[in-house]
Amino acid sequence: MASPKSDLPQGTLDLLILKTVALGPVHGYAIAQRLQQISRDVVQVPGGSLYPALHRLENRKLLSAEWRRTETGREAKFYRLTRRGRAHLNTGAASWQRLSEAVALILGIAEGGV
Amino acid sequence: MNWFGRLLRRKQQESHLDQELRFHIEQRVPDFRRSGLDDAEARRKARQQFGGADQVKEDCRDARGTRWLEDLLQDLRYAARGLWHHPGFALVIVFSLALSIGGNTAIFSVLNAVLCRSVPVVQPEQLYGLDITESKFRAPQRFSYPLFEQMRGAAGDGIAAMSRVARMYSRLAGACEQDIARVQLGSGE
Repeated sequence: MASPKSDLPQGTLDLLILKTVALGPVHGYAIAQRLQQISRDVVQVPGGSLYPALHRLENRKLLSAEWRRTETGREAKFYRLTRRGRAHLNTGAASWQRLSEAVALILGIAEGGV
Repeated sequence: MNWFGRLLRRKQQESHLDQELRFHIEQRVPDFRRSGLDDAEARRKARQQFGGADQVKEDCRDARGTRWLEDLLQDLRYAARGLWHHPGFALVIVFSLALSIGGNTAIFSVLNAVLCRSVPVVQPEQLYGLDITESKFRAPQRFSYPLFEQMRGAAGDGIAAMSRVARMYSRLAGACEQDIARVQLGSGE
């Protein structure tokens, strides 16, 4: 199966990951699952996008990582939001909100009625 | 962990990366088992769905930010191996490098002594070189004694003059043969 190319705009995946991790320490697989569930299958992040993004965010110190046991007793890498990550998430979410409202306004104009 | 630490723990990082991706893939296996596949088939399917794990690993390494240094070290190792297996070639390289560096150093030492160091006198900024530029009879930096006396008079303050080193054919008193002597004329102040 060709991994579906993510249609998310640039930088949006980072924001979605940060938000998911903000809910509590979580491993990569669970992040993908949650994104898919919460978005009702609209957002499907292939591993090829998810893990490089996670490592990039860890490298930028927006996420920190530690190895822990899952409920099933397996070792997994859990990600956690850092203070910097939270600040990044807040500003990113705010600007995304503003942009999406603006786009909705423009697209919502009734045609012929201006 | 800073980039240097990450570099030192490359082995550990690699195994962690491998473990992390394998965990992801194995989490998918039960889903495929439930859809009726046997274990091997379910694993194969899960790997397939994840996509090229090697490519993902490459991208993760890129995201780590030490990629340039890792690549550099790898290139250096490769180069060292190549030289080790071709000692003749290595010798030629070392020899030509030694030659060129040596030549460069020699020329620089000469230039440094001649051009860069100032003249070993008390006030080198008071030294001038005089030359006649507009004359039919110009001879480089040569003046007749009367001309020198005129210049000395014009300069007011006492100046001392020294001719450049010249070669002269002279017959020294008592010597039988003409010999070349290096002479330098000074004005005596």
